[in-house]
Amino acid sequence: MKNFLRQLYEGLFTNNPVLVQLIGMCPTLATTTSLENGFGMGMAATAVLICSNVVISLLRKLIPSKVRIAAYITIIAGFVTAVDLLMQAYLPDLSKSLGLFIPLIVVNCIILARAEAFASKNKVIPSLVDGLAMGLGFTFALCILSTIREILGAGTLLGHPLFGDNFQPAIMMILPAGGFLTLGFVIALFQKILKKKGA
Amino acid sequence: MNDSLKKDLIHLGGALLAITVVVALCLGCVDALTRDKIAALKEQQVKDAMGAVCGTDATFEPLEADIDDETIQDAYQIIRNGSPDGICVQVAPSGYGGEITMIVGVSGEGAVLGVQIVEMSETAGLGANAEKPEFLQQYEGQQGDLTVVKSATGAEGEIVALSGATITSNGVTSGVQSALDLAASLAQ
Repeated sequence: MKNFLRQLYEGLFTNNPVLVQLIGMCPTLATTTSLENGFGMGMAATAVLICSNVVISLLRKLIPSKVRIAAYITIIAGFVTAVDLLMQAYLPDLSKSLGLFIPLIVVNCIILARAEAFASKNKVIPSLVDGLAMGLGFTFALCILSTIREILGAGTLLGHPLFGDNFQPAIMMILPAGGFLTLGFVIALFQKILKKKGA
Repeated sequence: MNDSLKKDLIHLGGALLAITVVVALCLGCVDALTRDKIAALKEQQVKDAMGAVCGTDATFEPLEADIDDETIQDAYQIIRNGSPDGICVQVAPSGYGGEITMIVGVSGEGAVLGVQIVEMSETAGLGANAEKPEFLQQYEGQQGDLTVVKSATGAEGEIVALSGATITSNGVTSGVQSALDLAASLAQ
């Protein structure tokens, strides 16, 4: 239980995949234009990450190390395709707005990184927790970024207008440049908070 | 080829093959579960859009005509009260983020009845605003040649572009134009 909490803490804060490890940048920058998209992307990636971590951990003694990357990618691609189809069938609106980024979870390096660095060396339960922790960390970072970008760039939150009709949103914030700017500021702030806590 | 290499290849290939087969089987099951639902959703979306554009009292018959415009995916004759009254066209012009699939209705008099966007992958907050009624309503009643402008001057056939999304505006407009041109060529 203690281990479980520590893993969660690491995934969310001290070893956050986006804000500390700086991996999975492509979906981070591309899908955080609105909170709904950011959250949806985070949840889809978390589902894939948990499933792939569990399966890869189960198969860790059976997969020959020479072809492990190919095997991991096949397993991950299988889960991603399943999630994609299920979302198209049951969450059509979200699936529409995330579009191409769902299939691209296959090449999200967080998932391959956790398979290689954790699931292939650890038992099933810790791997499951690792997938959950890292997935939630990813979702957490995406939610922060997308909230900031949606408020500044579109003047809305979850699609509801926050300001009056005369508010002129800074369109740049939902364009790629705004993504990089927001990411930079959030990482800087996050590092400052972590340093203070660690000191 | 020596024996150990052969063994190695069979072992590695066999492991990959086994994983691939299992994954493919699982995906087959998921596909079987979701395929009908996804197809039904897509069909319903197109039907809803056609109803919204042409009115719920309209029925549709496939249009029999030679269409050489590649952006036109489907064309229907609108039947109202038993007689033909304009056409309803599914067009897919290219926008900023790929094809924009949309439904355009053209009345018997050759004017745009309405436009609905079924599927697109335009930038959220910019091009994606194209599906808002404020933008799409500009097309209603338009005839002849359309031009995209930055700000309205009051001339005929003018479509005011979405700010920051000229390519999307041009895309949607060219789709509507395709439908208008088809209607005009049929009327001749």
